[in-house]
Amino acid sequence: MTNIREVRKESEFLLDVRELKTYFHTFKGVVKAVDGVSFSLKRGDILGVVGESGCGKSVTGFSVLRLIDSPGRIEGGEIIFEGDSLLKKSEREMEKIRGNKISMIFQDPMTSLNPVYTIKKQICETLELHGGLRGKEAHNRAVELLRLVGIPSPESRVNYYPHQFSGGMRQRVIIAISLATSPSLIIADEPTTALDVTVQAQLMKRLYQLVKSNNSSMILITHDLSLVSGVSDNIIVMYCGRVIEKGSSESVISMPAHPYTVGLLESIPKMTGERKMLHQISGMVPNPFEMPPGCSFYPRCELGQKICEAEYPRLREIEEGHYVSCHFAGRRNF
Amino acid sequence: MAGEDLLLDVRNMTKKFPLARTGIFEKIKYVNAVKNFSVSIKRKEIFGLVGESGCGKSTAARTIIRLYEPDEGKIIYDGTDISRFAEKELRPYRKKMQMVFQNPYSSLNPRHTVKEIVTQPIMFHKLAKNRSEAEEKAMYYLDKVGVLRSQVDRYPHQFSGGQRQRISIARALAVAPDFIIADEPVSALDVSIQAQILNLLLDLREEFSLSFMFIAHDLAVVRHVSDRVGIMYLGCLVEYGPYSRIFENPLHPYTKTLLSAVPVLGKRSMESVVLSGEVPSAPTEDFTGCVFAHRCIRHTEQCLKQTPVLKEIESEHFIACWSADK
Repeated sequence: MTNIREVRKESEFLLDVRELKTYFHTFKGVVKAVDGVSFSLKRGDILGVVGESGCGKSVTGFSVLRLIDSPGRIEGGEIIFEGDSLLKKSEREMEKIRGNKISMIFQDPMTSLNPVYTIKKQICETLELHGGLRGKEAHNRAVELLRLVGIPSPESRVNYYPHQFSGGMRQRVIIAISLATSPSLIIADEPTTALDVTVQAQLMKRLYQLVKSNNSSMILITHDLSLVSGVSDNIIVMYCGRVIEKGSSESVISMPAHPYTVGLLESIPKMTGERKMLHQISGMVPNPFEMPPGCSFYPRCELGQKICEAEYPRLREIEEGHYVSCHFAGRRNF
Repeated sequence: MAGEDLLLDVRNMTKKFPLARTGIFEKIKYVNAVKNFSVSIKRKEIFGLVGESGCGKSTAARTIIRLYEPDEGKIIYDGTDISRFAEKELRPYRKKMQMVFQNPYSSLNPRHTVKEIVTQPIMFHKLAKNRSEAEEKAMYYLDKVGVLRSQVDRYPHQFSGGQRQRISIARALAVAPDFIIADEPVSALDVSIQAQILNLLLDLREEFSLSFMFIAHDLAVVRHVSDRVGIMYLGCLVEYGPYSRIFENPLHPYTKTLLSAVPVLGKRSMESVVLSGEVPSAPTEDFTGCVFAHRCIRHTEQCLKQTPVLKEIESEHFIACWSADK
């Protein structure tokens, strides 16, 4: 019996999300923030979720942890984590998973720590709740965690309050808390967006090493394509609540197939080479209450034709492991 | 540099801010937010100013347009030193120098319609005979930045971030300035919208012969728009020169590490060398030595004791570093 279970755990994906739908029921109507998103994540892999504001990337992350508040609701789909369906679990069982097996790093280091407790108290809370560590043991582990994320003189800093740290240091503390229980999955929602580039480089490097050395997996949610391309193994690109392209980092970045991905990549100013006029994707993201019936990118798309207006293109495989949802996705090279 | 095409010449500008006293009998200490800042901007030039948060780039910009009083140094605008002008004398210059702020959500008055927002500066500077002429002018500039005529009676909250930034730009243009300071104008925007605004700024420069000081922390954006670039660290300009020299051949150790920290599309970045530690707080006024020395791998005794001055290493390329030519 144990043998079979082990085999199943080893062979399957750590996380498998299928046709996830998270809708928000507002007075003005229903917002389909996440509308049929599917992806899977192997143990030890880093998945980048990219898209612009409002595309549903954060809601996807929150949905995995079932952190969706009213008026939002997970309407359908499956979330399989370590072989179990998370959507079937009770709130009690979820509490044992959150911060323990799956932890989350939020964007804003200024607001995700409690200002009235010391850092020690906040790290130890997690350790007590999920690890059963107390007193001296918990203290030592907290100091060790702070050292691990690169905070100088952790023995004294552990007694500091959040306001005594800079933004970069606070984000380190948050990473320390998220790593406290050696989670198998870390969901990092724009972990370095509020930080300067040099601090971002330090933190991403540290986070990358810690994730890889623990054999944890990570979902890195960000709007920064360059950052994602440097860290993640696979990428999914989202637009208006749907996955429009997914594949390995290399194939998505070097051979993007969806016109939106192509446009996004061309609109980023480059650090080397000749300066060219930036490509701009005309128009704006459609109003969530007035979604076009067919392809949601159709109103802004250069390739758009009649069929795009009427019919939403399903994700199809254009080469091994590289999926695109576009009727006309031709291959373009840069 | 020829004097004629020089629009702005800032020489050794310093701005200090007082620190909170720790005891009531203690002398007030000052922190150097900007120290010995010298820069010149030509007509129709875009000067990019880069640095991490707290390095003084916004303070430098605000001091140049006299939103702050400079403590030392000269600000020569079109041949006139305006650094000591009183508010009344400054008024004509307020019109020539405009600013576009970072946050399009808080820099527009939520109680005014877009038309009013752009008409107001025209009325204030008496650039139109009457209100209807002013409004006509406002419409012209709103049209230039891509705001539709049917939208001008709306309020700022009815627009998206990118549209609001267009309105901010129209407001700055409305008084026909020569010089615009754009303080992080695209950092709150998504990449596809960012490209629209950057292209708009480059077009407007051609059409209205504008000079820009473009402040940003995103190096790729600065590289894209700037003719010349300056790098700031803790209140000091450590390197400046033509954009191609700065990005292809950075000479100051800080510039080098800053450039290497930028994630590049498609490049596995986890192996790059990164700067250790974080930016310390700005030094107080009695500080001497190089501000970067403590984090610099190449620092010497001299760096800790003597403040380096900007010197020309190659044509138009300046750096402030003791060990650069060694």
